[in-house]
Amino acid sequence: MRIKSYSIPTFILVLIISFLLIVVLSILAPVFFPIDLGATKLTARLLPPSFMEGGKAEFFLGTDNLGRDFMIRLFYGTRNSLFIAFAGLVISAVLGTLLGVLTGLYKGLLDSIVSFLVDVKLSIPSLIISIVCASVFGSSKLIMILIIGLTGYPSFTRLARGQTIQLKEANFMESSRALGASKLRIVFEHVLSNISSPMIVHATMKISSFILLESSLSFLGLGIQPPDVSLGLMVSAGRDYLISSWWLSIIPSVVIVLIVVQVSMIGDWLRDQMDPKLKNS
Amino acid sequence: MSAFIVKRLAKALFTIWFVLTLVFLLTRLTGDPTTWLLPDDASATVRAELRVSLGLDRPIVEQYTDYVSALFTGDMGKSYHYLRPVGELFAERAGPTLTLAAISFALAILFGVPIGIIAAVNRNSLLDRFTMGISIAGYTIPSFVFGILMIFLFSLQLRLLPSGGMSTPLHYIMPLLTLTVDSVANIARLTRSSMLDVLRQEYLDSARAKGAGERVVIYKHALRNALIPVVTVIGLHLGTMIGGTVVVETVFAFPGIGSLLVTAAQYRDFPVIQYGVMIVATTVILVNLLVDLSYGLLDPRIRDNF
Amino acid sequence: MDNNNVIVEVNNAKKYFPVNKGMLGQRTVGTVKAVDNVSFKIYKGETLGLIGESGCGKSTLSRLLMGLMDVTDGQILFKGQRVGTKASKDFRRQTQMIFQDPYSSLDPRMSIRRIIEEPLRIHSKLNAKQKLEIVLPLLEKVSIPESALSKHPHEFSGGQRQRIGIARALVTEPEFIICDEPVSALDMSVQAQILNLFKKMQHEFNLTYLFISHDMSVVRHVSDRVMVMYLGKVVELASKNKFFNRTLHPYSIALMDAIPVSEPNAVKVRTPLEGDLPSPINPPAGCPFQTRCPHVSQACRVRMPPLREVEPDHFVACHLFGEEGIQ
Repeated sequence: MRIKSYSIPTFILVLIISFLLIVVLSILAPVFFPIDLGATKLTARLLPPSFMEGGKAEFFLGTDNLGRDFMIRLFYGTRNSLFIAFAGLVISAVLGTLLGVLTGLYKGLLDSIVSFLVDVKLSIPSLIISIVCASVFGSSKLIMILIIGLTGYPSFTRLARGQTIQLKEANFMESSRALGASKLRIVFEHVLSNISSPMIVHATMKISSFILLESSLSFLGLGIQPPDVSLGLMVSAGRDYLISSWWLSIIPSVVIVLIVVQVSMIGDWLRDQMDPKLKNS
Repeated sequence: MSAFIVKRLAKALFTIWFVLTLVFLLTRLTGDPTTWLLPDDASATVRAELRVSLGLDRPIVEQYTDYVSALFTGDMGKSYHYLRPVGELFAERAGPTLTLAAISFALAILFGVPIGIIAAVNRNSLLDRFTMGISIAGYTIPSFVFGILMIFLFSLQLRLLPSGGMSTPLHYIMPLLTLTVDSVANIARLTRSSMLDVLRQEYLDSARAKGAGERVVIYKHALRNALIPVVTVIGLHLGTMIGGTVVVETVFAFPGIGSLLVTAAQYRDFPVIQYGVMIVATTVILVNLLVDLSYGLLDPRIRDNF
Repeated sequence: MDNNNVIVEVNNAKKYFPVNKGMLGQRTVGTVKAVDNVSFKIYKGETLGLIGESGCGKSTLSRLLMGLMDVTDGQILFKGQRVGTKASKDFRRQTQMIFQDPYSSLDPRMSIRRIIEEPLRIHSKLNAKQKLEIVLPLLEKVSIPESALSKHPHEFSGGQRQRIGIARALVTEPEFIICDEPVSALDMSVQAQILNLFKKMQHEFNLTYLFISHDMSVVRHVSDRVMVMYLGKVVELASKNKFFNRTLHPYSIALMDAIPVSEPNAVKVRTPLEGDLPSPINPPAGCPFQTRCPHVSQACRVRMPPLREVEPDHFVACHLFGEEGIQ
């Protein structure tokens, strides 16, 4: 048995702080840089970053093919990507946990229906579902959030259902029922608090896959549409200029990888903290 | 055992039917395709003609029965965008995608499983850390980023490989690598953790106590049990991989089913999307059915639960 | 004991669970008769000890009595009112349960204060101060310091948790408490303390206990009357003295023989239980104990002997003791 330690290793602390920095900066982007994303300046097209030959101090990371400040777009893109991933996470976590707790507590028709839907979802790749939804409903931020929420909930449902079934065996659940506690009270007083830590860990681990799904969809042209911007869309737009202006594609790529690595490592660490048994697996 | 097979088969067929019907309903929900297929000023007669030619003038039930029977006849109607029979489009593009997916799938298993086993057996060794490091990189780097980086390096800087198309075997190298890295990483990681779980089990100690050599213990007793979850993972991974081909084909301008689907989605080309989803869903569901059945063969406890 | 004092009355209660097999669980291949035609009464202020091996139906019986499930047939009355899953709030307040495992009987996420106050939250609209006025004296009675209120269950030992469980059960001023093996998870030294606490509380609050245990010596310590169950059936029911002075049913005798003897040199003739507990799915016709009974006869294989009063306050269900009383 490993003894729980409440001190956070420096390495993880650095990860958490740097991730929060990215989140805060991207949230505040419209405050620092209140610009119109659609406005173009064709006289300043494809300028390299200021630290490279030919760069201008005015544009730290240069400009894109329409002469827009690349760094500002990067902030806005990160902001959109993170916003969509987090909003989708909230929907899938809430919906998934709700369904999982309900089906865990009460067997019957609902349980059969939900587990069938989970099976259906697992038999079709998320990306294919997203493609169908994007083609039917079009692409907007709201649709993307809903797509992520609806393709992401099954793993939360599975986890919450398993945890709830385990919890049902606990005597304190039975004694609450014997006291005549209503179902709603049991869910709020006992179930949610007891399954919260594994759910939070799972949510942390899921963020990175949602960020990946969002950026893949935008990369494919089925997500965020110009003139709005997201990291995946920036990678895709920069693809045509790989020879002359490689940074247009490579910098947002690096930002995606950076965010995903940060989030996954924080998630892994959190999981090890909450459940030492799972370590090394 | 036969009841187990029948039950699984019935469930698989029901799932396929459910997915198909859902897609059909979704695509009919969004209104009249002629509103986005024709210019705004198109006359009513032109619209009506298009509707007739796309078969949209008939009652919805009739369209649905046609759609379902097309599963058996293969006549899936005409693409809105390419204005050609959907079956033809898929027939043209199935070959390259299947080649890509099959080779990548085989490579993923061929490399992923042994790497996972070796890493688990030599746990915490330099080799273990190295392979796990690579595999973490494999699942944190999205495949389109990986693809772009490869194009940047091998096509633009080193000028070794073509960046798009599929006319020569050379064209397959980068798409294959991109698709496979992800799968190898995934399968290796899961094989390793499943193998580690099994190596901790007590029955291995009893095998050791009986005097079996470590080699026999690992390869005879542990491996068989470790492979059960690995088989499932490989089945589920097929879905992820099909999603991967969509991205990879788009990155490398590879004319397969994946890029066809992306184009179809951009143009709201519903007949193509319906057929594509049907192919993907049927493949994944049938492969997972096979996985379930082999799972039942490997582990008698599973089938006794039915 | 007169009938006006009856608090719980169980009349021919049956609880059968179907055992399903087949693809969709549509084929019923048998029934587990977890509680099979059981009748008994519990009188106000007494402790009825219930003994049996695991799987004998003790737990099902206690869940029926708590109104956590409904009987398949027969009836259970609490102060004349029917008990079941739709029982009244008043019933829920007047009956409480204390569990075996002090680790899973308290919600690990709640503070001790929230745990003990839970019944009050459900059954009353008292404010924080009023609730505390009820909780504090109870804490003192079970010898838990006031400082415990803000702590969580994992900070306490098994014995302390059981004390907390008792305080929690008492908070609604119940009349009837089911104690489901409340001490069997505890150390011997702690067991005695907790058993004494149970007795003290019974005296103070005029409680009625159904005390479930597989441990004869524990039952002997706390009970006024003893009931023995085997595979869903009551096989012996007697006052404590009659039961321990003159154990009659072969199964009860076998259980008594399993008690360790305190003096190592004492001579004791043991007739240990042989064979396994038969499958509870479709048990053999006749007496359920026939497969392990040393005195099995032809009659046992044909007919289940009824529970008969063979001497005052001593009931037994065995063909060895016929209508004519003890031979």
